[in-house]
Amino acid sequence: MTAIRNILIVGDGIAAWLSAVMLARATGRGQVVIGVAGSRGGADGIENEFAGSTLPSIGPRHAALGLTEFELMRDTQAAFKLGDEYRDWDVPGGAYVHAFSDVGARLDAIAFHHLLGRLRAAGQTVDIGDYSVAAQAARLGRFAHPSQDGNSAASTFSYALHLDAPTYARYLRAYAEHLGVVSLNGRLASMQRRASDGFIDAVLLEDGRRLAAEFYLDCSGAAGDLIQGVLGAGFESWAQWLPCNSALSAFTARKTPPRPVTEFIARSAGCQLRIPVRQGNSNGFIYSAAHLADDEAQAAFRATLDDVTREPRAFRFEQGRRRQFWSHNCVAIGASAAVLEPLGSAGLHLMMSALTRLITLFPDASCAASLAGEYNRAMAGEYRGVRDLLVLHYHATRRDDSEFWRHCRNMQLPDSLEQRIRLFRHRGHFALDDEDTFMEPDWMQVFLGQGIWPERTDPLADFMDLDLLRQKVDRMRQIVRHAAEGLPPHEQYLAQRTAPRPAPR
Amino acid sequence: MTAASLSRFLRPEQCAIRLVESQEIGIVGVGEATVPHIRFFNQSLGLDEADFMRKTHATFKLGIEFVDWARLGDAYIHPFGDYGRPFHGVRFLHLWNRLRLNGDPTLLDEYSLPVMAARQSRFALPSTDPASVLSTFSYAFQFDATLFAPYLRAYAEKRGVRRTEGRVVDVGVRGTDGFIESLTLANGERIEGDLFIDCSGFFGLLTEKSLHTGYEDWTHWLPCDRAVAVPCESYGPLLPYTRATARTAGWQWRIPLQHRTGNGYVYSSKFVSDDEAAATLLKHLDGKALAEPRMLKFVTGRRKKTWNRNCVAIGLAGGFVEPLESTSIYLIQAAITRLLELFPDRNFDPVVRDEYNRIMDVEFERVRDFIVLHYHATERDDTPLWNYVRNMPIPDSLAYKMELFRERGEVVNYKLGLFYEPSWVAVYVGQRVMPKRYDPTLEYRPLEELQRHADSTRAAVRAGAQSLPTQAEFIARYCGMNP
Repeated sequence: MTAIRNILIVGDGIAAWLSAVMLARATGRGQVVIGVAGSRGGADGIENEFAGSTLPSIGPRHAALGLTEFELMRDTQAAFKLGDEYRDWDVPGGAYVHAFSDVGARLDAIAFHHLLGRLRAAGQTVDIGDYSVAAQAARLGRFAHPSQDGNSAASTFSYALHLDAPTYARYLRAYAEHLGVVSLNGRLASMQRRASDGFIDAVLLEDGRRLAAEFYLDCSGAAGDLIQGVLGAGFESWAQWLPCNSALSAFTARKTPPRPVTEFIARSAGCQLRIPVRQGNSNGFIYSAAHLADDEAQAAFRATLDDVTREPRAFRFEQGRRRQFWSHNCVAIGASAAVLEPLGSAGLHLMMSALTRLITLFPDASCAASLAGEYNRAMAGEYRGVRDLLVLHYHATRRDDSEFWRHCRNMQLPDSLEQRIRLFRHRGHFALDDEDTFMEPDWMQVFLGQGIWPERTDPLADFMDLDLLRQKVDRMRQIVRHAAEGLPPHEQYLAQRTAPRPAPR
Repeated sequence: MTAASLSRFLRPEQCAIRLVESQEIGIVGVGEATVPHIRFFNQSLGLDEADFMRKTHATFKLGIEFVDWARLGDAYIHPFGDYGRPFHGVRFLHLWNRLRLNGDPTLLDEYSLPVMAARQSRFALPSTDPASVLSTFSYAFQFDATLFAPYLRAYAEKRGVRRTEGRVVDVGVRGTDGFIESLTLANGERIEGDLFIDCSGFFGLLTEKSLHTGYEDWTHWLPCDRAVAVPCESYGPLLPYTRATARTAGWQWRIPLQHRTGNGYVYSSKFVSDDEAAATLLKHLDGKALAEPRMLKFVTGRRKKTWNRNCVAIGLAGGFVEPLESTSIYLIQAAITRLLELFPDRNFDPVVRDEYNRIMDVEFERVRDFIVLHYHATERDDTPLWNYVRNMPIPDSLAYKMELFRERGEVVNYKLGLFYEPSWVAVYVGQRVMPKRYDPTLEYRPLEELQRHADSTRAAVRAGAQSLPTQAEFIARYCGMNP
């Protein structure tokens, strides 16, 4: 077999530099030449502007890349994150946190949401956030690393990071270059395919340089310079389920302490988000241009911002995924593979997961079709699972205050989501697939947060003694609150954790 | 198992459980082999492991040895544990494969602690120190099913299950919706219920004879349709594994218990007569037969809906994928776990039933594919059975998995269902499905570095295995039967 010795990455943003870092780490120093060339259109907005809101998988993944949390946070303005806060989604005024946390605990093998459902059916007012250490801490603006003591309630959550996306991209670039990745400092002009098998043979840069590699990564953003422009892999639009197609982004200075949550606030034709990093907030406004004119969107967005420190940017996109993520000798990573709005904060996770899968299935120069087939099968499942959770946020709502929300409430759902909702609504059960990113606690928090309670509780929960159940669940609430209140304020903890350390002697 | 588990999670004042059992219908199996999941079942019931083992005359199981499967003369063990340690994030299999393609003849076995321990009849409980090579395995049991049933019966009865001895002569089905209403016993007693669980075996007394659920026949992939079983006296060291030896028209099991050995020949009646099969079995016992051989008939496949109306079919009533990988008890356990998760109320919401059936279909199909692999991936052409299975078309869900492994040793992982990566690796390699390539990132590392990693792993495995006591010693100390 002929090992790949040259990889060319096309792109300018996080996906390109993350790919460079992960491939450089996986292939060992100096064995493979990895070059990065700029795409035709420059860094993709939807991929890069909001990538700073992450999921807990980022911690172990960074560690595996040799990046220490302390250095990364110190150098990238990062802050801690306990979950996503959703406001005004189900009804205006409503709020919930999708936290990275256990929610309550099982009793006699009965899942916690069934216990809570039983109490709710008995007339008690219940809020799942009361039983999640991370959700409580998020509300209180508190944070510390989870306890290592498995018996402590303070060990029942995990955490992610809020990154400043442009700083993070530069950080990855510097690390990639440190690992020997070559920045080609040129922009893609055209591509050449091999006649015999359709593989990409070489690319030409604007300055006339011709670059040949055995394997290509398309990180060029939604345009898909290689995967679509050369290989025509096709696009499956999800616009009928995710109608938002426009975004505005702006950075504002820090005025209040950074909260350990990403905020997603539903608006009349989409949603607004705020990602708090140390020096300020990265803000976004996501909307459907069919339901809201651009100038109205800009006015609505600006009205909520003060002290804008980076000029607002506007861009359009269409949500959906590439029909094939791996075609011939080219794999698409980031927005060139799938375009999803920032809701759910899975952007960076999906890039890392795709690259991990690619490294697992890393081909030799022949790029066997079976490897690409398996990669495409698995990634299609992974993107589908994330898409379903996003669509759920828009669809499961009682809002009818705008045409946009009426559309979302009444739209025909993808079959897979239809089945998930049916099963949860009828019985409080989760239909999970092999490739799902979001697991039971995630779905549970979003279902309940969006106002979908099971019509029937688990019959086993119905058998429990109500007074005893009430006591036990109440005890859980107290333990959770006590654990959350025992954490320090996030800002204080963050300052300690990112302060320069004395050099070791 | 179902009664014990339901009685653990449902209290009698909440839900009355009755079990109807006829002594006239015996328990199948003379020795039952399991997979490690059985330990979670026992833990969920709060059973004491040593007590359970003592009362069921159980032994430990580190895996299954397959003899004569890919070629006559071959023998490999499918262990409960992984091979080697990853090398710079690359799975050990790839490293082994690179060395193999470079001419290194070392068997994959030598990098597996449970295989090496099993080969020397050694056993101890896994270490809890994740850094130790002695933590790199899991274990299951081999026990006497005819003793496990009464053991569970005592457990269930103590928790309020009412057991009735009797034979069901009539099943009352409601005219409006076809739900089962009642059972009538030979003595005239009529028993009503909301939920009926059919554990009547292949026969499917409720699900098939009354509800006519239908059966999906998998004989074209798994042609064995009979088994003849006999216990024999123990002989030789007490092996911590089950052996499955390929025969002309099927395969023979050998399951060592503390006090005797269970044996059986699973065969296809198309390729051998019952008398011949029984003679072959008796000829290949390693001790004196302790009973007359018993014959069983079955059809591999699964019930079209393991949950139909208000009846859930568990065990052989739900389906049968033959005992080659000791999955019967696992599938019972999976059915019980899912039933508890999706426990119905009197409305019997079809959404719940459909989800249960979806999951159980996946469970059955993934076990099926794994077992079909053992038959299909063979080079044997010495008998009609082996010629048939070698040439038969296989399920698409298996074909692409095999292709991916052949291409470069990649195992398709899944979250739902049994058998994880090390199991697939063991059987692919054991059946001589060899990866043509390996993870090419290994090309970027010097061969000597790979060799050092392999050598140190092998040395650690060898030393670890040798440090264990024999299973006989360990059992005598831990859970020996009273003499």
